[in-house]
Amino acid sequence: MQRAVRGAGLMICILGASLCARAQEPGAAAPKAAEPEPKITCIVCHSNLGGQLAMPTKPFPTDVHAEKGLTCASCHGGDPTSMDPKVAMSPAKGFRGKPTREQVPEFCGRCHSDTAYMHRYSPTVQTDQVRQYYTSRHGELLRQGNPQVATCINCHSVHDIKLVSDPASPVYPTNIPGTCGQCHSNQDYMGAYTDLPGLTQVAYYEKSVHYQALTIQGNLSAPTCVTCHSSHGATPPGVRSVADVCGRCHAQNLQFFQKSAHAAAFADMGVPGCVQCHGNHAILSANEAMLAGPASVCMTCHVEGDAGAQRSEEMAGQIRKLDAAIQQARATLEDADRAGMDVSVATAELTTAHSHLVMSRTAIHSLDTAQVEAEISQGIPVAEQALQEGRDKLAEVQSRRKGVALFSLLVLAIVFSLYLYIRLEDKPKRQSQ
Amino acid sequence: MAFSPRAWLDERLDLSPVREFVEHKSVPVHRHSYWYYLGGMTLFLFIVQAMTGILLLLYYQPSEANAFESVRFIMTQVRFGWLIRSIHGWCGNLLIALAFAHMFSTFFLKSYRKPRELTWVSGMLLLFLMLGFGFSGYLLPWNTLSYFATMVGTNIAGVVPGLGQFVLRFLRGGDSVTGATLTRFFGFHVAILPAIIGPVLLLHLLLIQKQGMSVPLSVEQEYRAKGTTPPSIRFFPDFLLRELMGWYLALAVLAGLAALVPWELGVKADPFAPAPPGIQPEWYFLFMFQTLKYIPAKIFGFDGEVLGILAFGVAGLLLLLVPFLDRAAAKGLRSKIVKRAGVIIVIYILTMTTVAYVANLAR
Repeated sequence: MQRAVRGAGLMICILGASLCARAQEPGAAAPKAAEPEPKITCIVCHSNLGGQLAMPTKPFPTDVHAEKGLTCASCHGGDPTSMDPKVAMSPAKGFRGKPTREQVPEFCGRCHSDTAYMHRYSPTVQTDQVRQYYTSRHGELLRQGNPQVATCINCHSVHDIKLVSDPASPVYPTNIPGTCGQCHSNQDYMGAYTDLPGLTQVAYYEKSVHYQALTIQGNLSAPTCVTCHSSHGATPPGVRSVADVCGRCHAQNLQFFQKSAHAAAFADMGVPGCVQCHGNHAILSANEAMLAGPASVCMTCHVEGDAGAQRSEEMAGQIRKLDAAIQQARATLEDADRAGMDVSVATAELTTAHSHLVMSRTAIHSLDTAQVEAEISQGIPVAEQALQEGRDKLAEVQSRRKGVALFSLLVLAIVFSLYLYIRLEDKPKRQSQ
Repeated sequence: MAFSPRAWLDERLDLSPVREFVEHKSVPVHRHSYWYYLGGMTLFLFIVQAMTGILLLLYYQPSEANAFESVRFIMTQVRFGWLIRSIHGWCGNLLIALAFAHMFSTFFLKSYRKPRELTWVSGMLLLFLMLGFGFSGYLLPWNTLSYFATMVGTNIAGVVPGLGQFVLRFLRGGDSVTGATLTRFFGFHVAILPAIIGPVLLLHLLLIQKQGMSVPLSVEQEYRAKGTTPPSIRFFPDFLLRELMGWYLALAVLAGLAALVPWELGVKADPFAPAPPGIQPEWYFLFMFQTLKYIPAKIFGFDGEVLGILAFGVAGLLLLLVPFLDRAAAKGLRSKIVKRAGVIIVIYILTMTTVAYVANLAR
């Protein structure tokens, strides 16, 4: 993308002549797609120039700006109706040329920060991106004169910009890790930033349960880099704000945690809340192994036999009990379902037990075994009832089989009777022979 | 005078020729007589299949969205729906097994010899049509196994040179197995194939009635040497009573299979899910499927799979035309070549089917 911008700059240097034509300024009426398109000489000339000067012309027709009726002159100014480069690129005609990297946020912000203008395209569109950008680490460094940091075009690209909802956009949810990783996983690019924790963020994130939800389950609401770090105002969450960041989605976990003894203890120790046990980028699926056993995260602070260790063992045991009961019931119901029995009611009931399992896993953040037990004691009877219903259905399959087998034996008895009858009928014939 | 339905019908339809036919029809008795019952048992199973199929049709919905759910409804909500579906599933398999047995018994007893060439040809057509019923019906429950087995089966059809791709697209109603394939197979299963099999079955039965039961060549030669003909029994009631025993036996086996291995609902087909390991077509296509696995990719520069499918096509054609190829049988003589070819075919089919099953179990 940077090369594309540099290409545009080179184009301006070579063709830096006159031009006129009023660029579509913020405040001007948005072009109507149905109106006859004005003659765009920029594309005509630049597509014939070749090399970097021609590069913007190829992707631009599918750029969201072009699709909305904007032209080169809408951003770069000048007079796109003139075939004379001196006229077309005349400062007198409002020609602005290629912005420097420091100018990019304001360059895009001319329209994107203009609420009245942007509302013509979408009444709900966000217009505070540039303001947010300057609060971000990227924006801060840019203002400090560091042109290497990301600006609008590093994430959104340039001349082939797509809507965020377009799967081809670099900022479409599934593409975000890759887009951020272009810089944040690049040793050559990030080497100078010694205050950053490393280059493993994207690699670790791709191992996380969040990434699995995003890519394997196709859940576009699953957290990506921007969910925790923000997009335009990207900044690392501080120790105090980590729990709040996670709590935006995991609200109940946050509530339990904040009421627990851990909240104050973690604050005193100066360790971030959720991240202390779950990690940050490589967040794996949480289960009882985190509570008790060799992979217990509790034991990183607690010691064998202390109150915390005993409590975590107790909670893990309770949760495993309900989990096992649900799994057994589910397997039995699936067997019955495959056998053609109606288990829809029992399967629906089992989701209630699963809700209690989820809640019990959430309640461990309270460190209160009574709360965990309360969930378990509600979930176990539901799971047991579903298991019994599954067993009853399988028993019904067996009784049906017995019924059909009995019928089969009855028919065989008829066959045997017929055989005896035929032999009896044939007896005189056989004797006569 | 008391009302007599027989007299009433006679007065209007004159059933005396039918009565005459039934009273005088006889069936030869010899040491191979029991093979005669296979045809009747196959017919009985066909009737069961048609009746249970009609019952299933009352609830089945042939669409990608509803097929599996409607079969689930039949099995879980419709009274005795589980039994009807299980009987229909097993009956289809037993029917094809008996049709194969009937075909091979007829082959080895040389019943296809003059003047019964057309009876053989119509019987072979019936067998092919029944295979078509099996293939088209297997997809209809729209579960994982049926979906991927159909994918494999139609892929094989697509390999045939020239017409293959056309046949593939014709069968699938597109490039892949989709809801369009399901609708199409349903059409084949309940409309096109029944419309074809009806007249062919009628012709087959009429020819049997017209020409009577064939006496095996070996038996015929023995009695010819003695200067006599084999003894016979009356069709009604003696033969029919024995036939009825065969029908009951088929019913008992059918119920036994339904009891031992109830036909399951399975898991709904997911076209985007990976194919489960060891997916195979129905057992009656297994010998061909397994053979194609063993054929080298290239044979003398030709595609091995194509050659394999062509070989099966030629074998089927030869089998169809065997009455016209076995000139010795037409003259009342035994042909060792034809008999040995038949034995080799039976051993080959049984071996390859067993190998396919064992390989799948080992997997």
